[in-house]
Amino acid sequence: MKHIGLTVASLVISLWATGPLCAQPDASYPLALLPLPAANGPPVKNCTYCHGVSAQGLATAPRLAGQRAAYIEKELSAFRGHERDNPLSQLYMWNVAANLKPETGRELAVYFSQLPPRAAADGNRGLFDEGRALYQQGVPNANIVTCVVCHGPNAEGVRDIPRLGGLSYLYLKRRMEEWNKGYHPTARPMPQVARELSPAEIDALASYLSFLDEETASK
Amino acid sequence: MIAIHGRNALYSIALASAVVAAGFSGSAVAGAGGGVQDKIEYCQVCHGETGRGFYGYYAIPRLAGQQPGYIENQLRDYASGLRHNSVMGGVARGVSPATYGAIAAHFHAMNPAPLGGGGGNVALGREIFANGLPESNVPACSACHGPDAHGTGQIPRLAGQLPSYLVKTLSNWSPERGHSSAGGLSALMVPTTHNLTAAQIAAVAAYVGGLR
Amino acid sequence: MAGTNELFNAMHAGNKMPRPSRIGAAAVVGLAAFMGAGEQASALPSFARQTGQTCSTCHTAFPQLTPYGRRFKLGGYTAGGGIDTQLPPVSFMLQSQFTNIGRSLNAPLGSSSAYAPPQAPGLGGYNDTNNWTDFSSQVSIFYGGKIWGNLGAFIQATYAQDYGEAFNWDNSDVRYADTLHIGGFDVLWGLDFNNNPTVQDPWNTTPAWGFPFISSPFAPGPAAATMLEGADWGPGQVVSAGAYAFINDMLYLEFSAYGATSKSFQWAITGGPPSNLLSGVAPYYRVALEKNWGEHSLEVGAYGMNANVITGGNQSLPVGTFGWPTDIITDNGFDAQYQWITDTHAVTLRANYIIERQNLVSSVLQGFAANNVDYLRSLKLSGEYVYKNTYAFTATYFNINGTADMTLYAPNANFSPNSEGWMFDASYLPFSRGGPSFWPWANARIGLTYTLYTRFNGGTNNIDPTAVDVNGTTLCNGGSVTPYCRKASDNNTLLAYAWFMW
Repeated sequence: MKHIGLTVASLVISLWATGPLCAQPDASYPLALLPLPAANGPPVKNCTYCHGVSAQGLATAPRLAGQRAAYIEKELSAFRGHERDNPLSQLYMWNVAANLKPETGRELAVYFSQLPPRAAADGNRGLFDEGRALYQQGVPNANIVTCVVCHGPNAEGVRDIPRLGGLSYLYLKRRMEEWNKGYHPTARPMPQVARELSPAEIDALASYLSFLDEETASK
Repeated sequence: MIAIHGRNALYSIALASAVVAAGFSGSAVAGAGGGVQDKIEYCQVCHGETGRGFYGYYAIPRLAGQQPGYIENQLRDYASGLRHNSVMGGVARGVSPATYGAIAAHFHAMNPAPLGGGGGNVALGREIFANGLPESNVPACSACHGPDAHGTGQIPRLAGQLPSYLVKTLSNWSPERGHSSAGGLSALMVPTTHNLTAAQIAAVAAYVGGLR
Repeated sequence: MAGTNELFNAMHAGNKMPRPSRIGAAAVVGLAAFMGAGEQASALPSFARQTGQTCSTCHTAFPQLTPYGRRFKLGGYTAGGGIDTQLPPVSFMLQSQFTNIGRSLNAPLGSSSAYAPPQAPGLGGYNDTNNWTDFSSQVSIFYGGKIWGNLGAFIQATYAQDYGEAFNWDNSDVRYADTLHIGGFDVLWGLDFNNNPTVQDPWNTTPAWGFPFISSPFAPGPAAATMLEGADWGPGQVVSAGAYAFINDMLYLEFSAYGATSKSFQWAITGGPPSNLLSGVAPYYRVALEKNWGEHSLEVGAYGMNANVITGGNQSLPVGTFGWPTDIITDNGFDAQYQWITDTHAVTLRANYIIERQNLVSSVLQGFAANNVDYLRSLKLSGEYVYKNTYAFTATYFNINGTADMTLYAPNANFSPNSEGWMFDASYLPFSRGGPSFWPWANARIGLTYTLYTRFNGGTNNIDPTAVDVNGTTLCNGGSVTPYCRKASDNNTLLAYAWFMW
């Protein structure tokens, strides 16, 4: 009995002690239980029923895993303020942001930024090289700027500039198209960048980026 | 354009910015997207609508208030490959030299507040800028760039420049612009950049980055 | 209530005596339980409060689910995101209906098998032999949402103000769900407890939440239906325990086991004795693959159940009497669903095919069936278009066919269970993207459904060949036209409904 008592006590203590870590999975993540929306963690489930169990993106909802925390936070704020007014944003994310406390949004952003991302790889592979050239060099004669200067050599993003590598082709394509339809005009300079892109160029960029991860980008 | 290999090469991309100058010809370049106004807007996408620069993955330098002679010189060097930068090389070659002058004049006329953001020791930076580091054989920056760091002619304005851009530039001088440039002034900086420590570079960058 | 099934289990109105057979079961259960069935629920306002989302996030036009709605359900109804209103997760539903059938139920009282009004006019909103107005045909209260932590529930209790006028334990589903990451697999897993096979299923191809979403308790429907479509029992007459896993948001696997609730309990919740009783444990399986790419979602799957059924409502026969056989009913269903959902348009195509093998050893011994083995097949193809989550249009083709059985389907033309037809629905959902400001979670669906039969209970021109009046005179002889001779199309039904949730 004494031993059982000790075991239970130590179990309780270790569970309690590891509780806060749940919100920030690290290298031990792959074999760990995804954190529950426990009292001390962010309400992850509120996001994952649309963005996927491990936030790799689902249907039209983009991948959050590995996204820059500052970017997620900035977008949540743009949903709250209705600056990001894309049709699907209005439909889904305005409701989300309306009830989300900024500090909870920050915790969620940090949580998702630390999940390992997987490439959607759903674009047209035949456009990979064309997309890479556009991404890295732009088309100076056509006033198309490079993407690499802001989004980084592996499209990994930085600070509040989003990671694009491995996002789904359809999501990337839709975002670029929607800037050209006048949505989310405050996200400068993206409306100006997208303005110069032809549908074929958007297709190539979105395809290339969907395959991108650290390996393919650096080869 | 040259394919980009690895982070170092890309790093130099950041250099991308300084733009241009040259004789403005009113007729500019014919064809869609080739007009002066189109090209100015093209520059502004990355360098900011007010030309104050932008922190992307790499720092994109401020053009506002920059000396037209310097901008034009740099565009020519990018285009010719004397200054290495895979992004700006393509950009400069995509702009007609006839429009360099108009672009340079446009950005020279702008005067937004600095972006700031440097993390160096501002007091040390002010000291180096004003008096140099005689013991390290570093001349006073103000001697050439002017006491207000606004530059003159082909000597660039430093005031309000993005500190991380300045740090990158001063740390990477020889690989990027070791060749004698069109203006012939680039080589002057080589010994200076070699004699500054990282902390001193950061200090100068932070100081001039905050100047208006 | 189990919506889809209702149509197919709706009364065989002329039956004065419940016939203790599978077909009888359909009729009796229909009267006792399904008749009231207004339907289903969902787009639950309490879910909207809990998640902060409008109905349109989870429903194209309720109760049809979107990919996100399916995951909310599989996640145990526990996702949040709304403001804390301090309100319990309780919702209410009211359905008002007007039914018009193609031709009056005007057979003389006392005739056998032919369609006659089930009750004297005047009760339960009944006001004519082919028109029915009922302002509260079904009233439900729901508990829907997170109970605690990873435990959530959808529980419906219904008062049906029609023939039954009874308070029923309706569709219910309680879950514990969590996520797990094993190697390269993301697993959403859960434990599920429910009271009606397929009520737990997240695809609207399967019967419990399939089309039609609402039907009339007054209109006649085909007598034959498969077990999974509710032929043998309704919500609460069986209960299940099961487990499921959804792997990589793609492969869904479920296994559940059903058992009967006690006969007295069944009596209490259905207002009458159970005609068919599940014996022992009935296994239920479900496999589905769902692939989502952008605005598109495609699912293909299979499901099934095998049950030993004590047939015929023989309450005097002790359950499990040694040596006395049961019928063995084996259903296998195959389904597919495609969805294309944008901010403006939502298209859903559903296909469902159930093949049922009926081993009728017990029924034959009791004289309820002629063949030892009958087969019954039910096909349903349905296409739905929804504009801005507000205007919904649906067309459905259904075809029930199976082995002719001169005892089981004695009243039918050629003793055949076959029925075939179409259903068309147009409806208006004003609040899918947000309700009135004083109660933004409200939802409503106001619509018209027209059901058209090309074949009914085996027949097209004379669907009641054996019907006789009190004097034993055949009512419809050899297709000759008499006032009482019904064609399949005489059962065509127009249903106008207003369905409110708050």
